[in-house]
Amino acid sequence: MSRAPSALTIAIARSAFVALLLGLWIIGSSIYGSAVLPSPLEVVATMFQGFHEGWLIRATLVTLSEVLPAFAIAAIAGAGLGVALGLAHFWGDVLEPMILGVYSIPKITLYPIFLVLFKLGIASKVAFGFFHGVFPIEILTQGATSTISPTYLKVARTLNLTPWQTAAHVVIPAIVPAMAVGLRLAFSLTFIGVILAEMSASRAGLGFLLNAADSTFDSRRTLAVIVVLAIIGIGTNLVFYALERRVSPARPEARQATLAM
Amino acid sequence: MQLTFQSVSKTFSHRLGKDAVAALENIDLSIASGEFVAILGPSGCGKSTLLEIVAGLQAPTSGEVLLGGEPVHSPHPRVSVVFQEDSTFPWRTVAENVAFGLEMRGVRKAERDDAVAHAIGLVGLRGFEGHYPHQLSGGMRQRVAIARTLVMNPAVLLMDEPFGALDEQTRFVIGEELLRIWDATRCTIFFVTHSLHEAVQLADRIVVLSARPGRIKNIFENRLSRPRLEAKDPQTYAVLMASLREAIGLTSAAFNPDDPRIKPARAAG
Repeated sequence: MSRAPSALTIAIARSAFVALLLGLWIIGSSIYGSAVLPSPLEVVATMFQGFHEGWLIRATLVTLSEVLPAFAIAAIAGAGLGVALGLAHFWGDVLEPMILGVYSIPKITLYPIFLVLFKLGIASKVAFGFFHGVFPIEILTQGATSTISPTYLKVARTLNLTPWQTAAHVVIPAIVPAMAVGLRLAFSLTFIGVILAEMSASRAGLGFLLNAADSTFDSRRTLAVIVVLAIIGIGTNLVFYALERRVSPARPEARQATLAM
Repeated sequence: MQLTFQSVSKTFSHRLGKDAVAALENIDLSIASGEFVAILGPSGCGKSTLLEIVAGLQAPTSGEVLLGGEPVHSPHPRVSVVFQEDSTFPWRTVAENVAFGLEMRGVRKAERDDAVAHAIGLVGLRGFEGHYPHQLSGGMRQRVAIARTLVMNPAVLLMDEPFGALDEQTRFVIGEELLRIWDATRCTIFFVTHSLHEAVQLADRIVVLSARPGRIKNIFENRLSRPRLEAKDPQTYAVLMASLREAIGLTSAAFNPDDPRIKPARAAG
């Protein structure tokens, strides 16, 4: 009988894997030369320079100032719409194929419309980020709301709960695990949306910086921006995973939802 | 609290189809305060519908259900329901699940805690107060659901195949515990089941419903002394079981003992 590997073994294997990737990066950099593929140390040096000189910090702050409002609006609108459509089965049935349909469109093709509507500044980035992020939270919230156990709602009715009590003490707690998954996905998609918008047409932000560095073949800057993007993406993902685990005390159905995504 | 059905009928009319389905027809029944009555019938006979009418979750098409003389129009505060499906909230601990109804009624915590501890003791879950439902077995979760109703001090306890999802042994044990709880609380119990054994084990009276539309076919008084083990009084037990089988149509149609096809083969040689 084989024993499940311990958490320590997994952690060591993970670190070894990261070290292997860094090793490959270093080897690649020595083969192709630092003009094409700068070494990790050179990239870190460029990042420090960027923070010191301010251009990397400014771009990061611009991007975050677009991502955060876009995410907040997507989370509130998506969760609200998801609960409403999950409870109103008629409208849920009417709108669900359209929502899933729009979600499946490669959204970058619609960016010109956003530019016309919201101009070149921050508004078009926020709108485009929102447009990416609103779907997962809406879809997951609606799914969780419309599939709440009818027995839970019967319990609420036999206790003569007010609609408010039913919402606050039965419906919302029942859908929180799915919403936590939705928030995590919504953040990463909002982030993607904002960066795509910045790369397509903008005058500031990490996406703009990436494009500018790329078009002048400044590989160090390109990689420095990519590392910053990775740090933001991985960092927020970890935060949202922790949130998910908190709201689902080892509930099997919540874990399944996480795996299914 | 006395429970009276006055020619209760329920018809489901489908908006699209033309056919209306008669689920229940002319149910007349009177259940005394503190009585344990089992409603027995094949699936689809409307027994759960009957329970939901008493619970105030559905309205009868005609007729009335009276609770202590008052017609039922909405869920009554002294009536509690235990459902077949798991109704425990996975986001609440055992104690928090049991406290739910009182919490929603605005009962203060100190008062709540006493009632919750008492109910948890009654269903034998002491020591599990801080557990979450996913840490419990199906039988224990149903005990939580029962404790959640007991804490409301119900006059009438409606149970809709509460042990239907449990294995036979657990079913028997939890049934005996229910009798003990019934003894301690003396509430009226309206118990829907499709299990003959369960009906015989638990109820004072067994009401047999016919299949679609559900009508009262027979009512049997159960005079076996508790605990009702087959070995204690095999003859009375067998007669009651046989009458119940016949009433729900098992002997005449599906299980005719004289049917040569199912007659056990005598051991040859």
